[in-house]
Amino acid sequence: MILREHRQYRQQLITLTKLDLKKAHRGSVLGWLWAFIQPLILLFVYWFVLHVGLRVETTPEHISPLSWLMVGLIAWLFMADLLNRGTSSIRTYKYLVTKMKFPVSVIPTFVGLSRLLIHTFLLSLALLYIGIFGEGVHMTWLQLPLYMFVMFLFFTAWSLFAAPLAVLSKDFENLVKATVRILFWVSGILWNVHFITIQWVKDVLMLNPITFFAEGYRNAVLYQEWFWEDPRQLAIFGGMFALLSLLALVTYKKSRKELADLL
Amino acid sequence: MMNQPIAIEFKNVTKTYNLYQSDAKRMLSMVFHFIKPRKKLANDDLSFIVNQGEAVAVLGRNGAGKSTLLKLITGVAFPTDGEIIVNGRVSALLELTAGFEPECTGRENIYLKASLMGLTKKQAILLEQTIINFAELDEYIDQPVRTYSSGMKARLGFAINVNIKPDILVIDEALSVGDIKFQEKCRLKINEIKEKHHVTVLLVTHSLDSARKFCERGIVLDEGKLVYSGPIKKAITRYKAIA
Repeated sequence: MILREHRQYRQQLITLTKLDLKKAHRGSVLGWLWAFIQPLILLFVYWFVLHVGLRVETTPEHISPLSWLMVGLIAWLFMADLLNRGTSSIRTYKYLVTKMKFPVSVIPTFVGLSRLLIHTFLLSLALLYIGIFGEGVHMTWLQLPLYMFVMFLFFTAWSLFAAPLAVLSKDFENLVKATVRILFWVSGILWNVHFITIQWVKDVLMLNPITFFAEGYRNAVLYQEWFWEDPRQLAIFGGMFALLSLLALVTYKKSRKELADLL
Repeated sequence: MMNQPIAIEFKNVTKTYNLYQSDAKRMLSMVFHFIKPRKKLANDDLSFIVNQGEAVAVLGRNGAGKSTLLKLITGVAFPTDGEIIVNGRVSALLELTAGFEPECTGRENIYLKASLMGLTKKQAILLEQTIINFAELDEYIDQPVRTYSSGMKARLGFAINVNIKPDILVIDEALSVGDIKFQEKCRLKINEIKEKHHVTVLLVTHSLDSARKFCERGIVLDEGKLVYSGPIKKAITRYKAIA
């Protein structure tokens, strides 16, 4: 049913993706540049705090801490964006639900697509930097599009699950936003999960899909590792993805007809 | 009348709203089924047919279920029970607004709306100037819609909705906006698309005057039930009796 809705509204999906992009970057003089400046400032601040201020060790010797941080942070920004915006997507675009006939399931998708474009842009810049000034280009980069696509699917499934619930309850939306802030600190974006010596703590941390993706990106860009090299990790993630998709389908099916009455 | 194609058919349609005391209770009720909502019956077992090209006024007091009925026709809301058949593209002005993107300009909203209604870019370009002229927005058309007054929004909404060639036009109270001249223009436009393109019109209004001018038929609702369906004159008499 969801796939059919997407096929039927694919034209509108493109229009709305463009709209969502345009909306995020208007009303300011620098406009589009902000999509680039904001992450750059963040990157600089975290790098400064970690390596000039705290002087922590985040990477094995042959990898520059800046490249390492850059790749993880870019992955994180995409995930955080989808967690936040995805969760409030239906509320943001409520006129599509209450004023016209439009399939609700398409809303999280175009919000996710617009973020994916920004993410692709940022990642390309990062790869350009790493390729020229950093660790160089590797074959393992080829798996990045796959990572991006799976990441997009995973967090769009999340949005499809969370956005209807956020309509039902404002508390839920606030809870998600508060959790995102915590997730940033516990997901190993700023510190290296592999440096943890207690095995079970490490195992628990690797259950976190955000850690999975951030580490996956680093493996692909910097460590020259392929995603199938850790099959256990892959299986755990696969299970979680399946569970999330199921939850998303159930919530969407249950709430779809009621959403317009509530907004 | 007999062999005219059907535009809208309602078969025993019921719509109930589930009202909870708070959002928290609504959330909890998804898991705990013993938390029961208060049920509000907005449309109670409605059955009627609207033929293609007909103009029908929906009359009723506040809370009679008129807006719910329009939402069901538009496909925004879903019936709790019964079946609804709608043939053709519905263009709707619900609760006065057409659903604009507040951050975008009027012009961008024309394109957005056209695209969402399934028009191609080419068709939209052809309609753009007609819509702007009709809405009488002049230089405001390139300002963001959030800066518009409610009258301006309603005018733009109306202009878009009548001009994008709908099969069924649904208007909720929107005719009461604008000055007399604008209202007259709307009336002419609606008559024109009715005559020329055989558009079906559904009109919710409290102004019996415009109901009489626009519509040949009336549907009277009272507390969610259909109490009368027939010629507009009789419908108005009936409505006056319960109002």
